[in-house]
Amino acid sequence: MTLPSQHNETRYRVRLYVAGNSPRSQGAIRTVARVCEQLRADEIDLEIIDVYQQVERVRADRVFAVPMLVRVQPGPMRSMIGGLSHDENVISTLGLELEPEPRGPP
Amino acid sequence: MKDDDTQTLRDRIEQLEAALAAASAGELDAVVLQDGHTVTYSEASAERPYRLMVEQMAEGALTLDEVTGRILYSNAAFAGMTGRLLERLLGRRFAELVDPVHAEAARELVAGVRPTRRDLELVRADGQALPVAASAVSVEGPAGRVRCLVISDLRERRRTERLRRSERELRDEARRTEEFIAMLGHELRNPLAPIRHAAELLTEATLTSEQLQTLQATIVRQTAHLKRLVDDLLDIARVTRGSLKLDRRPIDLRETVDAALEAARSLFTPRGRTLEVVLPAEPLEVVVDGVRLTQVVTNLLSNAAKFTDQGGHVLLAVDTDGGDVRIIVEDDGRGIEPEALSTVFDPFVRAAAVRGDSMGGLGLGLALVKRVVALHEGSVDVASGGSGQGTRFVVKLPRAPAGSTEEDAVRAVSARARPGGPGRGDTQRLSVASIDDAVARATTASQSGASEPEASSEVPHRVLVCDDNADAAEMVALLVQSRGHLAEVSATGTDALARAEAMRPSFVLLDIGLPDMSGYDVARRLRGISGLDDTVIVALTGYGQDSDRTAALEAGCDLHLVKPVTGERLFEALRTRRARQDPPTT
Repeated sequence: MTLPSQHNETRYRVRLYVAGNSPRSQGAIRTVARVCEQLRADEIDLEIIDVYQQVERVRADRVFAVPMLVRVQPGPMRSMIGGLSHDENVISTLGLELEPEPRGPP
Repeated sequence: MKDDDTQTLRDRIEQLEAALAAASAGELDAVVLQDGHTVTYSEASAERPYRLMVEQMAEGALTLDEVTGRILYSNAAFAGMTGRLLERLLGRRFAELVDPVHAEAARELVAGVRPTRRDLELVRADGQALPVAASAVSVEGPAGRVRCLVISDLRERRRTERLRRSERELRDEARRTEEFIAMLGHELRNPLAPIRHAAELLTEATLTSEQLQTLQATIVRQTAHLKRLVDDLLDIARVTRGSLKLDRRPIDLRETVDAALEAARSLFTPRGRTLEVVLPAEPLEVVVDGVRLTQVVTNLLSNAAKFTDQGGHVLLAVDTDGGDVRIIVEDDGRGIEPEALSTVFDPFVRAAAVRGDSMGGLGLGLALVKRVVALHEGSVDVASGGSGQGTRFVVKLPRAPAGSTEEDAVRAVSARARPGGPGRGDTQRLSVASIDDAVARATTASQSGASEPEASSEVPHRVLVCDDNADAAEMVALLVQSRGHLAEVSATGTDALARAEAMRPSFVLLDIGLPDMSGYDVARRLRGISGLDDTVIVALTGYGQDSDRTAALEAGCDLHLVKPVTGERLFEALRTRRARQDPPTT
């Protein structure tokens, strides 16, 4: 199983902003990457941005606190700050539970 | 007690005020928070240098989830190594970036608990492989245990290693060259001493004829040895320069083997070694340079003899193997250690010879074998069971297709019919060919004369010997005089021209390297002197290249002999008659 790629037909455009190597950032990456992979691997285009190393993205995307998860597509834009180590928070932010399709294999 | 409390309080307040002042002035690194046993530092600036170090170092730095191998952190350097954007790299599994061949190494890096180092190859986004060294440690953090990796690009290191290796190889080569020169000096000096001694002894009046024979035999043997050494050197130089030309003709391989046996027989007879020869009953035609192939077989036999002790056996066999012919030389002698097998064909590599073998070599024999066989589009392989287990050399040569055989045969015939034509072979054969030519051009007597070893009935000739090496000239003159001819000696071209006009020699034996003019010039001017039309001019040179021979013939020489010339060949040359303008009679 591979991570989502922008070459596939993507329905979701998701961005996760983290702060370097911090434990909270690590936890957020673990959870978000796993949830995306398990639920909609082919449909999600996920970017994970380190605000320390990609300052230009912080300015462009108006990030004001990390870790932060943003669903850019489909609109309207939804975001969540903190609490990203919990599956249910991630799932509800991305709106994945609303989808009628059956889940992929665990 | 109360005063103390007040004092402590006052101290604390002063400390806090100082801290606040420093904080508002931006001069604080960290505020230390202590909660039970846990110590935390609230201010990031103390840790910022570490973060910057990781972000900016040239090595890749990674934090991996130790269960899934997911990348939880990567610095820009690692993203650059993989050719991917950082935001597309985070969250991926490390193993996805590793060449599947190295999956096990990747797994060990991720799943291990102990510090682990592995070399592996990353697959870059563009599909290119990138060799890296990875070093992993486990770090226990508040969010669980993770693996921290440092990844180094090995390309630079490999380049450095390659450079170091070639530097080492160059140094080794220089050392081998020095060793070779030392050995060369030694090997060339070895035969000189007995020759010198023999020469000194010859002045003794009391020598018996038996002693004289011994002296003579010593000198002949040692000179032959010197000649072999020099020939080997010239050959290897020629092959290395790529200027060795093969003179390929269709021949029966058995003849080649016979010639080699003749040359190598002396190596076996006095030493208690048995030589067994297995040849096919039918002629085995190959299109090869017979002289060179004889040299190949001779060198293999000589090598086998050298490394086979008393009582040993050597087998020489010739057979066919599909489209190839094989020449096998096998012995039950000292054998070769496995690690030395790869270098036996390198020039100047020489194992310690069998004790008592004064006739060492330059370690060029097998190198020549390999190169000459390669020029024939063949191969030579060596096998040995190790020390004391004997050695087996197998030379494979392609049997020429029928078409080319015929063509080569025609070319060989036409080459024979055109004396002096370019494109012929090398030293040894050249001198033989020169005599062939001379025989073909001689008007009379040469056939019958050549077959008679003692030509006491020969007409005495007037012979002019021109050589600036007085010893060499004197020796040639003595040899000529020993057969009843008259001889005079000149040390310079000018003197030779004057003498020639006065004595009208029937033969001029002409060294090419003279102090005042070249031998070619002497020959040209001799040809301009009237009354010398019948004079045979024989060029004697140390060079046997086609170009030397052509230059000699063009200058008006009739023969071109390569030094050292044996007495026999010299006498044969003295039976030559100069061809007139009309074609030779047959």
